[in-house]
Amino acid sequence: MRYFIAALFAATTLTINAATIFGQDDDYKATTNVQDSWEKWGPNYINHTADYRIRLGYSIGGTMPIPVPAEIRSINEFSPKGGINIGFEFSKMFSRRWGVNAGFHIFNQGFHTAADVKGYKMSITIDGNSMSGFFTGCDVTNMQMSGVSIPAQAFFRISPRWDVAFGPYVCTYFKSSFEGEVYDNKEGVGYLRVDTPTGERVTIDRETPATYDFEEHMRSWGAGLELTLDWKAAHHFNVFGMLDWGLSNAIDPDFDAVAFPMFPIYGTIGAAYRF
Amino acid sequence: MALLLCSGTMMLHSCISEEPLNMECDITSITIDVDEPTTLFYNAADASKSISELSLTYTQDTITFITRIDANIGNFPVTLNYTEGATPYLFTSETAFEVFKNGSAVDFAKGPRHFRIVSQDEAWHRDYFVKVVHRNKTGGDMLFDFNTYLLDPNNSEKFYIWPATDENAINGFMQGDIYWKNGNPGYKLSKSTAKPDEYPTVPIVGGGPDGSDCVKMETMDTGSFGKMVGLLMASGSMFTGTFDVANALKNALKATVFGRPFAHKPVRFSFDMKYEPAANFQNSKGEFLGNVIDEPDAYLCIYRINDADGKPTVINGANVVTSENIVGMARLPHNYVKNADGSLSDLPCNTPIHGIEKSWTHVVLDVNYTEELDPQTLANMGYGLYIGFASSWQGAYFEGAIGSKCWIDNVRVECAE
Repeated sequence: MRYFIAALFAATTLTINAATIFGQDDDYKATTNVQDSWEKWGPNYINHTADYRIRLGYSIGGTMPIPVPAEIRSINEFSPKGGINIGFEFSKMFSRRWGVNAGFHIFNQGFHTAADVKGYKMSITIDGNSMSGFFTGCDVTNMQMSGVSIPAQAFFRISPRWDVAFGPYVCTYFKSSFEGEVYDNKEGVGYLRVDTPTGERVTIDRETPATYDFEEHMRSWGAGLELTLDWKAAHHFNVFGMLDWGLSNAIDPDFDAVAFPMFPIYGTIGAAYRF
Repeated sequence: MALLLCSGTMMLHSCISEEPLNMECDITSITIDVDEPTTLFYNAADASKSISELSLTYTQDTITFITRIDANIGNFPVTLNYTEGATPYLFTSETAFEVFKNGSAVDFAKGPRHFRIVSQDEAWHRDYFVKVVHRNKTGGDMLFDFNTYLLDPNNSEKFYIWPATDENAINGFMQGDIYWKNGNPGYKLSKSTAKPDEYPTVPIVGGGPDGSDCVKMETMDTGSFGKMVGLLMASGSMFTGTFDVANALKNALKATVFGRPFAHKPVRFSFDMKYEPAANFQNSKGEFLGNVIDEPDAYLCIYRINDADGKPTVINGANVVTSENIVGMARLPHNYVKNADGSLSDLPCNTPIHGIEKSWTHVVLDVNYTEELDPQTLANMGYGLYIGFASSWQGAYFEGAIGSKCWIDNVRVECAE
């Protein structure tokens, strides 16, 4: 988990000077650096007690089991799908540094992966017929989810130009797709041991891959935590990084074909217009 | 963006845990490691059974080596190959076992020996019973009446299996594995909900021409799973050989492996059969071919166990009636088309000539030979035999009419003196 947070913020925090965040004088009147002053960026006592923002961002991430199970041996391909994230937020300040932030984000996010797996417990059910067991080979997954999320966050002004917000979100999905196929890996190994590791061994290769489509088993809602970091690049213009860490299984828990709970974890970077 | 993508991928890689230990515990090959295999066996290949040669399957737990009639069965060195990381054990009594070292001599004189392979993670094991037995001297004539059958205990009693009951078959032709094979194990993979009576090959109580039980084979839709892997239909079948479930979904033609050594010269192949072709003959893509009528198939073939290079002949669904190593054949009459090289290919059409009716028909076919059998080769088990039946004669290529039904009973093989 810490790797992901580190990775997400690597892109957005490269320009942050530690002194800017932590060494800032708390009293805006005493600020000598006009560039980063409270007078310039607010809030002051006259205005800036409320902010409206329209966000446009690009999301990348995955819906994955946490922690990644040992059965997943390597990730051979990864590419994002969709990624557009449009949001509207309102933040109300109770003091110079503290406030609340709420709004909605319309998103379309997803990914494609090809992973080598070993003894990966899986089950496929079609029309009531099921085949389950332990698969070794390559598992290709394509997932895409679009919906709207509603965050409700505590808002903290780290400095005149840096804001952070953190809190829960709930979301509902307009459409979720989760499909893929399994076949042999680059070494030509692709098979399912039916029911147990000592069961029948069924060869599955890329000429006759086993496909799956779990769309109807995707949940229509989700919840998690959202962390947002904003940097005021210009008077009305923010650059932001956002991490949405899903805490609810994206797949119906009664659906046992997927052996692990899958959590949507997506990072977004983008720009915001601040009214 | 690139940085973020790169970071995300690196993050995923950094989350990969240590490789889990192997859970599997299969014998992948087993060899009776004598210096001169042909002193003990009729064919050198008989000294070894392996997954890769299809002489061993992943579900098999009894492994039988058949020696020459006059061989002394005693201590033989055994070499095993097994799943990486697993540990092999040999039982020294009913309850005691010790780690088995490859090349150690094993005493087979008193019957089957019990091997156990324990997986690398020590959570799973498989038991194997290995026996070395003499080939028996039997007659060649055989009758298969299909009155004896049972639900397969090794497949959760999901479908029926038919053991041979004829003495000559049990002790000779089918020694070591007395069961007829069919595509039912493959059908089980695609239709797990099917009841025993809903499989392509089923027994019919009292359905035979003489009021005894018979076998019904039906060409069936493989359902969504079959569709998923591009195999739309399954012909009902009965044959002698091996059905390799491992290849059932990958390469079904190669999943049916035919033939066993046979010491006699079959001259006549007869059986009772009735047939009801269904409408809508379809090709492997599911496209209906309106001008084709489905046909049953029945064949008996004699072939050379080893090819011209001395390698074991492999007969499977792809060359079951076309292998150049076939020296004698009896087959239901069909239409053929002549190829440029003079060979014949099956010709599905709307004027079948097999002559099988919807009521029981007694069929007698002579075995036609393209070359005389060599008596010496015959005595040394150098020829093999297989018998096959299908409800759709092109079923191996996933062509046929779903719903075609074929009943068989009283299959008889008559051999020359």
